[in-house]
Amino acid sequence: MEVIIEALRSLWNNKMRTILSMLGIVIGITSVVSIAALGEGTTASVTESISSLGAKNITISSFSSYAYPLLYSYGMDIEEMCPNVENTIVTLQGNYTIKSDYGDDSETVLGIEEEYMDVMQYDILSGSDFSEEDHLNKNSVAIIGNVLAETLYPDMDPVGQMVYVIQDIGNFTKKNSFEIVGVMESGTTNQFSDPSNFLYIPFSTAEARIFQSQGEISNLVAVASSEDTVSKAMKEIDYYLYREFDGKEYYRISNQQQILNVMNDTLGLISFVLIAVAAISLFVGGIGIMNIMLVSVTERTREIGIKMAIGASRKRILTEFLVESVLITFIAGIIGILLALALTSSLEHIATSMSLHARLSPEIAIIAFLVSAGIGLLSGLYPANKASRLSPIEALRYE
Amino acid sequence: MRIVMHLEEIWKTYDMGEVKVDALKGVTFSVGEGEIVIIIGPSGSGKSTLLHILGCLDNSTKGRLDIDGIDVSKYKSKKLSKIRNSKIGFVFQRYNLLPKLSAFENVELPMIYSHMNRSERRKKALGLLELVGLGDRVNHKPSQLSGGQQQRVAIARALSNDPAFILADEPTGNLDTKSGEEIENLFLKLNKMGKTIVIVTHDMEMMPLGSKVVRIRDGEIESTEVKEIGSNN
Ligand SMILES: Nc1ncnc2c1ncn2[C@@H]1O[C@H](COP(=O)(O)OP(=O)(O)OP(=O)(O)O)[C@@H](O)[C@H]1O
Ligand SMILES: [Mg+2]
Repeated sequence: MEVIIEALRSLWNNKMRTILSMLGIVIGITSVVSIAALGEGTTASVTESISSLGAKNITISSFSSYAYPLLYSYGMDIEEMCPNVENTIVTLQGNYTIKSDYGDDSETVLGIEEEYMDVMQYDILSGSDFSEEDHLNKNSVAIIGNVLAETLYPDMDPVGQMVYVIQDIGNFTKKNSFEIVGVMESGTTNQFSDPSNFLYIPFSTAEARIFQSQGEISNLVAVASSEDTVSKAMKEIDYYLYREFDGKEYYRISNQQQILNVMNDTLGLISFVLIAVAAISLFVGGIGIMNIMLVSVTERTREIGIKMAIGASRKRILTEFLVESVLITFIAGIIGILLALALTSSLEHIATSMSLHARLSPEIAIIAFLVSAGIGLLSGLYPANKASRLSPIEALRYE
Repeated sequence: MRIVMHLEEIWKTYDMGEVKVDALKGVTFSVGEGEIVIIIGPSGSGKSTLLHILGCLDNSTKGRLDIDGIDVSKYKSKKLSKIRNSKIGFVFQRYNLLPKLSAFENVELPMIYSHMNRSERRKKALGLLELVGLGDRVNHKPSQLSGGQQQRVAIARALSNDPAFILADEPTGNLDTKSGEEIENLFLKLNKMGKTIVIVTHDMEMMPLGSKVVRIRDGEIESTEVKEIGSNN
């Protein structure tokens, strides 16, 4: 206990030097902790936004939409031939100018089949989902995303209003009118495209009125029977598509969870590399502390001699210097963590558009404490040992 | 008289690479319990070297040192630090107080090393400062004290763990006559309290203090005078 008080006192007596020697560690801990917190926070938010899209969903896409377009029949075939596929979702998708009587916007129009809203877990805020008749009779009805609705129908209920999808065909434009029957909300904000910004129409209507797609579709998603059978289902789909694509691998079968895993791995790797770089500053900081401690041992040689002459053991001298260097780095660690907290939260506020998220977990904080104390121990070891090995009489004679 | 310290054929050679300096060349003598031994001799004759070996601050190159009948010449650093802490109180010409600590804290330090508890330490340190006449200077830093006062703090510090021996290397060397006399009287007082004292000095004035005077020249004992028993009182 006295050792700690004495060490604190000696650090206090050399305030400026203590602060300077802390600097390296403070900077190192601040950057390592900030990066770790940002990495963890961003990973968590990406996970959240993707996993809600369904870990069971398998997305199928073609690289060569001219030679091998995705066909409507694939959906039915896959559903039939792949035992681990429970369901398929086919959509038609295009970007058009969407007009109302009050405004316009360039957004995605999506042709959907029945149950799409349920499968995607979207909420109908007002109005209703399409009816069976809407799909059967290719009715000119639409469901509007709530974000898009705000642009096109400011301060009013869009249900019952007309909406127009403008198509440029050659040098004339075609205006397709739809009656809005419902407003939907996607719940999650996907960072790349927000489903709440789409206009939805029945698949049959889309095929007949806008896309004239003749059996081709834009998107094909297969839903596996459970999260555990995703891999099996993907193999089955692959087996099927390999033949449909004449043995050419012009298609891709991917799963959200797997994309998520890859993204998390990538994010993890990036944070790891950044942390490694930042850790170099910790290393340099440690060397700085060692340097300062060596100077301090030399400066205090006489003091060490006196202490030994009145009975301080080697162990005692060793402890004194070790406690001092560990205290330096420990305090530096605390300051570093606090700075990292301040830094990451202000970054979150400033860079909102970059959707940075920080999460300083207790694990990170504890590891940072341990690492900083460890650096103190390691960098103090050599100087402290050197001090404790001085011969009392030579230390006393030192000027 | 019981022998409490005994030096047998002590050699100290400083190896300076090309030349070797023999600071002590086979010194043999004993210190009896309750004695005041004065070691005197010209500069460079090896007095300090001898006292440092006696005080376990330095190792001899050759020879044997018994303290309380135990051969300590082969002791390792841990046991030696214990002897320095509990058996021997060393007083230096240059006081060697820790400049950032107060008089009180300087006196307290050896007791921290011997793991004495706080309240006991406090009582002891205050008592000792009282004994050396510095009861009113407890919280002064060394820089706020005169040379004589600093030396008295150093003596109080040397006494803190009740050592059997006080070893002093020219304790009055840096002091004026009056402060020097005060220190001498303090040693006499301590001797009456039962401490065995070895003093190295240039100062002929101190000679009458000793019950034994050892003259040393060129690392060898030139002569030893022992006073009649009782003539010291
Ligand atoms: N660390 C050392 N390295 C080399 N030689 C030394 C060392 N210490 C002492 N000596 C030599 O040993 C001899 C004795 O030195 P010592 O300090 O014991 O003398 P002293 O009798 O105390 O002198 P003084 O009265 O001036 O203090 C001297 O010749 C000195 O040069
Ligand atoms: Mg000397």
